Amino acid sequence: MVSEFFDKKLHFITGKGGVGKSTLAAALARAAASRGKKVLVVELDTLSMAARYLRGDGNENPDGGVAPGGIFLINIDPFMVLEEFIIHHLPVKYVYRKILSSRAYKYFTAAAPGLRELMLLGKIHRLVKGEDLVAGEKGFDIVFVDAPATGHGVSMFQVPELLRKTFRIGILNEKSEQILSLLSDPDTTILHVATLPEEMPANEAVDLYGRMRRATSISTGCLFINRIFPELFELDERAAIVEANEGGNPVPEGAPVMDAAMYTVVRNRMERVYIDRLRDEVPMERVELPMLFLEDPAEIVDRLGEILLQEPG
Amino acid sequence: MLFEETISKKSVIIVSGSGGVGKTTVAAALALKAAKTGLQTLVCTIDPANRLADSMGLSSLGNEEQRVPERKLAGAGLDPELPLSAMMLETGRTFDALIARHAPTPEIRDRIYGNKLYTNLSASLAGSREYMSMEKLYELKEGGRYDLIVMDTPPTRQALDFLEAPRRMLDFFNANILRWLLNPPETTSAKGFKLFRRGGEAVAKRVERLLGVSLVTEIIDFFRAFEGLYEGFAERAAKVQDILTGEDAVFFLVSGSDSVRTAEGIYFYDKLREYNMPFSTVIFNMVHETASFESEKRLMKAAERVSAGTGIDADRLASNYKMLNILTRKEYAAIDKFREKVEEEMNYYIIPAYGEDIHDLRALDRLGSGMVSFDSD
Repeated sequence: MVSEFFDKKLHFITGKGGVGKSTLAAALARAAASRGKKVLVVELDTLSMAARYLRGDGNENPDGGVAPGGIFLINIDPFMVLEEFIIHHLPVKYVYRKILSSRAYKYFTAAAPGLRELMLLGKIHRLVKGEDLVAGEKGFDIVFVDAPATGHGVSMFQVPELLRKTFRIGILNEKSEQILSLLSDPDTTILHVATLPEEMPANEAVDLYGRMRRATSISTGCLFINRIFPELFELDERAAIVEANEGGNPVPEGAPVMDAAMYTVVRNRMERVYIDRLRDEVPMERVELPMLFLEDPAEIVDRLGEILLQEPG
Repeated sequence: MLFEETISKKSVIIVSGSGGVGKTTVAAALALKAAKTGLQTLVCTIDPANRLADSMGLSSLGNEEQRVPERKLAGAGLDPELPLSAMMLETGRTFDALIARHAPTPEIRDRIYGNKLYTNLSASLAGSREYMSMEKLYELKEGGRYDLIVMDTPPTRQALDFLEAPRRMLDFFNANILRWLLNPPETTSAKGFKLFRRGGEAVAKRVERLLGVSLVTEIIDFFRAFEGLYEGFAERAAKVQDILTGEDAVFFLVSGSDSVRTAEGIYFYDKLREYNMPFSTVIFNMVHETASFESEKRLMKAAERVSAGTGIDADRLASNYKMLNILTRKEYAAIDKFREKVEEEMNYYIIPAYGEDIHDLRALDRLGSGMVSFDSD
């Protein structure tokens, strides 16, 4: 059950692009808030979709602030964080001005490997430790991070270890150490994987799980299988649908109904293959979530939040 | 300009779009469709599903182009002589090849290969995949072996990283900030020079404290090794840029069909416009289509008649239909909204949702054939 993990403070939600990570992060936030937790949702340098869903106001620039239900929101821009970092560590105004205003700095930071990831994680570290505030607040019970799409996602979690090895001494070494110990603390940090019952997302979830296990020391939590198409038909009905579809259509005006039925049967069958594969190959707590036929993303978030708190089965 | 006209006039199609919309599959289907018109076609994929790669004979091959094998084509009921080639881009190898090409001596090449920064850089971090996909495009185009190259693009977070990547990477190699810090340039005024020098030394000390001495050495070594390569890099990046904005290339945007995906699609569209990229076609992938009934009554009647003939529960048939009909309406509303926002002339195509994975040539063929122009019906 998802709520069993609510005593952990830092939750990362990761997975392939397009599987609904932001929706899920928002729904988890709703669920935790409804259990009385003080919740922060962190988005990393994206379009703030989770914040939009939670605020439900279609605000074009919803970075930061508070959503209804007392959920706090922040979108971290790694370059802003880096500026803060430089100003903090090179406290000679002439020098940091010179650096920050140079073109070379901008390009270097845009391209330097690992820098962005380290800055994002560093900021998360400070938020979790209560060193930085959101909307004037700190002391969050639970922080949900809508992590970047995998590929980028795994590299993000590998960066601290990589940098710790690269920078044997110095401030970046210290920072990397701090971040590593936060990430690998099983009482604090947990990583959830979001996926869909489709080929590429399922492959990626399997792959991601393996790489997480091999290359990082983060504890793994739930595997969310999102947007599962409803299974409406009984077993014998499915057989009858396939048979009727193969035998041509005896009822012409019924064609749209039959086509729709066949679509559902085919899709259910495909999804079942990947759900089974995920069950066999990703030994995480599995949470199956239905596709919802609601218009408004904010409604979907609310409904998913409720579903997440229901007892399984 | 419809697809047939596009491929007769352009020699590069760059297939862009946000993650999870089926870019790779659509790119492969477009290439197959083009090859069927007789054009020597290559599809360069980034990260194809295993079975899709396998269906094109790519399972065992890396960074090289390969003709789709005759038996694979014949097995899918296609002309075995179809002029279709495919490849899978490998970032690391493309980068290595680029270094090998531009390094003035083998010693410099090996020094770069052995540098820790390079190892990190050429892996999947920070834009190298995007840069390399553009680099590969240039190489393939120069090779002149194809009438048409269909280029898949890496999944991006939001922005068109691959458009910015060449410039960013170049600037990175040209970044002289660290060299400036450690070897401040001479200035005309002696007093200015002294101030500068002092500032530089102070900063260098700070930077060393921040990063540790070994890394600073590594960085310096990295940039020194790259010094001789920069010219070649810059020249090539400029040529890549020429291809992208030139007469031969055109961008296609693949979008999902739900409102979240189409909103991302609009964002992409705006970005392409911002960069002045030639852009002609939007493909909405996985669109649900249900024919409509005049009334609820008609629907129930049809469901009952089907039920009578098959024994399937009529209510379930009707609610299943309604469920898909909701998807259909939602998706077309999202597509209409997209079209409203895009004011200029554009080709719109729709690829229906099949409810199945596309992982063989037959399914790719069906996908390409099922792609219909939005205004054609």
